Amino acid sequence: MVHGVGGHDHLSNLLRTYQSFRANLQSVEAPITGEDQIPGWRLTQFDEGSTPPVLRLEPRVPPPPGGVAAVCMYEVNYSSFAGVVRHNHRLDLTGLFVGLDLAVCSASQRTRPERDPIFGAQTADVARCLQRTAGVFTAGTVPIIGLPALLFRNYIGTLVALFTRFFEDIATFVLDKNGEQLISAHLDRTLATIDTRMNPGDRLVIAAHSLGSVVVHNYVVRQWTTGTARLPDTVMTFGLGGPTKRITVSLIREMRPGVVSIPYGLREAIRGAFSAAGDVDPMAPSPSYAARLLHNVVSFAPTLAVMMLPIWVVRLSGQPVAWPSSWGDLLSLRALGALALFMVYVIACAAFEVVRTWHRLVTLFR
Amino acid sequence: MADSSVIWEESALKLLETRDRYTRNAIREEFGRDPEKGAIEIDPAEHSYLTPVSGNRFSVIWQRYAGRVLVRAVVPLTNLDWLKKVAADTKKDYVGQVVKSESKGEITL
Repeated sequence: MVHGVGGHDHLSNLLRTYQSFRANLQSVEAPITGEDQIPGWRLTQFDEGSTPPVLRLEPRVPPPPGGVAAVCMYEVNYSSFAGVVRHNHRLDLTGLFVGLDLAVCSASQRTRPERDPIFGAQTADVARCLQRTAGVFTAGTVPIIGLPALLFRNYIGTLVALFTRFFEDIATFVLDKNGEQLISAHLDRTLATIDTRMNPGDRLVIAAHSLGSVVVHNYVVRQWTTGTARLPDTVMTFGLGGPTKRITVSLIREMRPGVVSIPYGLREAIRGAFSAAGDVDPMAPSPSYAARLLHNVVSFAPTLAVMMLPIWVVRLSGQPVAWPSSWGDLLSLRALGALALFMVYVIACAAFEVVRTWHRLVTLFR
Repeated sequence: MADSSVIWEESALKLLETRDRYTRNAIREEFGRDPEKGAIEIDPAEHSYLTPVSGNRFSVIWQRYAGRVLVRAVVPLTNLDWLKKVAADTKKDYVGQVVKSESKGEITL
């Protein structure tokens, strides 16, 4: 099993997989054998101290001729050191998604009507869908969700962590070449160790998900070309990641004037006002906390302006605006409820946009 | 076929006792509802059959006897796809071997 995201240790994930075969992990009651999905298999070996840890299962009943006589479960788990790689070289998720949005924007402007359709769908339509998705993802990283998330972190913390971890981990591998080499080396070493424990005729089955799918794909391609290590007999994947691009000023300047290029022109104008125009310097030190806070405040300004629109409408209609008169009003149950409702509204909008775009893409490719 | 026509042999109940109460009831209830559902014939001469239950996680080995169903054993046998393809003799031998192994030699088919 090759896992992707998460801050778990080597043993916990292996055991979680094993336990999920044999009991309902969501149940608050003690596990019973009735939940066992594989009652015909018994645990014959568990070596939690070995590297990697291993579980060995054998059938309770004699296997038929040519049947499976034993299954050894190993886990390739690089989450802890992938976390270190990520921690040492932080990625800005907003920048990541803005980069994706810009790349799609620029590419869509370059398309010509005579260009061959992609999988039978019009290139411009596909680009519009992708751009909308990138926009939704970008919106998901800005403080509009982050601020209520601080208050309601106990309830939505898992969702936010999953969102952040998933994209950060994918980017760690796809964009960060150092991270890619480290994770690849770890996978090579672990599979070489597993190979020494295998006998002739044994089958190597790799199950991978999220980032693990990309890591295993690269392993297969690498070993296929060099032929230095054993290739898996079967690979099962449960999800894929994809690459994106950095935000380059030249790409922004090449864009034709239009609705889609306005945000980028505005971005460069504001960055210019703060003497921050130009491409990102990969060797530059990380911005200070104050600089990042200022960046967030400026990024939040357009959103705040739009959020104020209803208040302006009320004022223009001559109705009095009920501003909070004290901190007590701001921290009241009613105010917190309104904030929660607003957050649900924003998340629902984002979810709706993602589903709508996905549906549109499926329709285009049908 | 109603549940009343199903007779559980003592040795089969003993095998069932090794499972938890939920599984025991679920297997008896599901098998009693329709013993012939998905049944595989394992010995035409003895009128022996195998019925997968509980999502193919267990198999009930039974015999048709005087118009009734006599349950001989309940085992966690799941190689059903393979079992359906093999010859009658192999089928009988394999199931017999599994039942003997699970019952620690107490039940011979």
